[in-house]
Amino acid sequence: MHDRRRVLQWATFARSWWIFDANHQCPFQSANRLCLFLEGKHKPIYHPLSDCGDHVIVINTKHIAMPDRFWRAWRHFHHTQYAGGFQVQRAWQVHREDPTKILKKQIYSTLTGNLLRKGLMARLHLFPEEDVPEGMLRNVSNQIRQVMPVPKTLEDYPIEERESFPRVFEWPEEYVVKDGKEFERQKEYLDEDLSLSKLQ
Amino acid sequence: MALAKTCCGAIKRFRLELPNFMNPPPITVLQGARTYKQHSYRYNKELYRRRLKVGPIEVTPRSKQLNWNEDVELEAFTHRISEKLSRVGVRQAFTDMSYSRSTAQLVKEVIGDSVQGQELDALDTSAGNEQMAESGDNLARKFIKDFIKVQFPHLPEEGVGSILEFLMSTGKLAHVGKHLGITDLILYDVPLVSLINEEQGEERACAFVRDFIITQLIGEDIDAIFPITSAMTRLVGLLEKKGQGEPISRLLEHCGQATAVSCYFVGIYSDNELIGKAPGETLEIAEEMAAHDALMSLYGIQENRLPFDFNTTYKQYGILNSGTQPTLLSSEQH
Repeated sequence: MHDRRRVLQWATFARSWWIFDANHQCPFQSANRLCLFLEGKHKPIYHPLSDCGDHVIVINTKHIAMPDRFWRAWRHFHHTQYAGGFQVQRAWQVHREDPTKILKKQIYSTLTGNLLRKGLMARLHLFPEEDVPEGMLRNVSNQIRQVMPVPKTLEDYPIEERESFPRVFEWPEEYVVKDGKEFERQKEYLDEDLSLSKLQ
Repeated sequence: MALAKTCCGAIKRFRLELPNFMNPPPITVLQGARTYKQHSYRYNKELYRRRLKVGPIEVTPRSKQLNWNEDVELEAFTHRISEKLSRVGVRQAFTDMSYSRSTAQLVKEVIGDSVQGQELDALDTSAGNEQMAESGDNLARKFIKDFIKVQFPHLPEEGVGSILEFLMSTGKLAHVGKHLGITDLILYDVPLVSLINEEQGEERACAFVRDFIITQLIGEDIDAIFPITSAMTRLVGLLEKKGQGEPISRLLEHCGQATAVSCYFVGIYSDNELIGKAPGETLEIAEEMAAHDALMSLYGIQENRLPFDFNTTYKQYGILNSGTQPTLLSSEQH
């Protein structure tokens, strides 16, 4: 093989590095998209038995957005194989323990269950925030498009615009909003869910 | 064990037809046996041992076997290549000098003066193919050279020479000859060009070279035949000669920079135009390869070039005899 053929071969099988911002992204839809890149399905040389996938760096996994009531309703199961070793955790509990775990487990279950899966998972690099090591960031050559638009929060609007927005009424100066009321109501729901899980 | 099993069919034939042992008919059925007879194992093993003892079957060329009619074969050969050639001429073209000498002597010794006519003349010492080979070689080389110059007008002389040597190498000619079916007839196919030239004219001879020898270039990587060394130095020289701006390298893409398997794409610009682009393991290799790529497109031997034009008629006498720059004429003009 002469030099030109050799470098063409090298370029064909070179592993690219991609970056994906998981900020306000649905983990289920994100997993579907990321798996394409991990398995190398975006390449013309793809074959299910060939290990031609790319590296994917995911940042902001702490700020993913679960759809609907899934923070409370989506459950992660585990069994130690011993009697009474069954455990179940809500998504919000899992996320509180490890902010990368929901996306990681979702990608793991979306990938095809074969002997390549372990190697593909090794090429997935998850970070809760944007603090990617400098050496890893140097490898990146492209980014993966987000699966949904990031919503604009109230803080993103300038103060002038917020102030000038028309209101139905304004609180009187002396009115005090009862602090923590909303939080307590949410806590009741959560306790209810936890008691349900204990029953199972 | 498996070998003994596979030989079983051949051995059985051997037992029945002893005279045909050296050239057994091909074994057609080897697979599909549903059972293997274990009781015949020792018998098969013994036969297998005997077969090994006898050794490999001697390969005899078709011309040494029975029912070989050389005249008919030569006639068939001329039809195969669609040329009207005299049988004597073909036989002479296919007769090597050493062979012709020894055979002529042998014939004279054995048969003496009783044989006469063309047959003996053809085997005369002067009737070897040495001269034909030489003139055929010259003609073929000249035509191939002109053909390549028309197809690749920007290729340097060195590259033309490399392609010519590739096509006229002994291995390539042997390959062409083998697939024209001259293995049993002879020994060399360049004298044939000379024969066609003499009997059918230069145009037919050139057509023969074009159809059977130059077509070997199809699917070949010109870059492998003509390896370009020290590409950047060459490129600088060539651009200077053409009066273009000097080459400037730029990093276009890269991935895995901090890993052991990094890949870089480098582009070469001249007068703000991308003239070459290539990948590489390091920046230096990628730059050299990009210069290589730029050279290939400047020489007109890039990967995405048009296929060879074999249909257009060349004004062959003009090319071959005048010694001027070869030109391409369309069939209407011709």
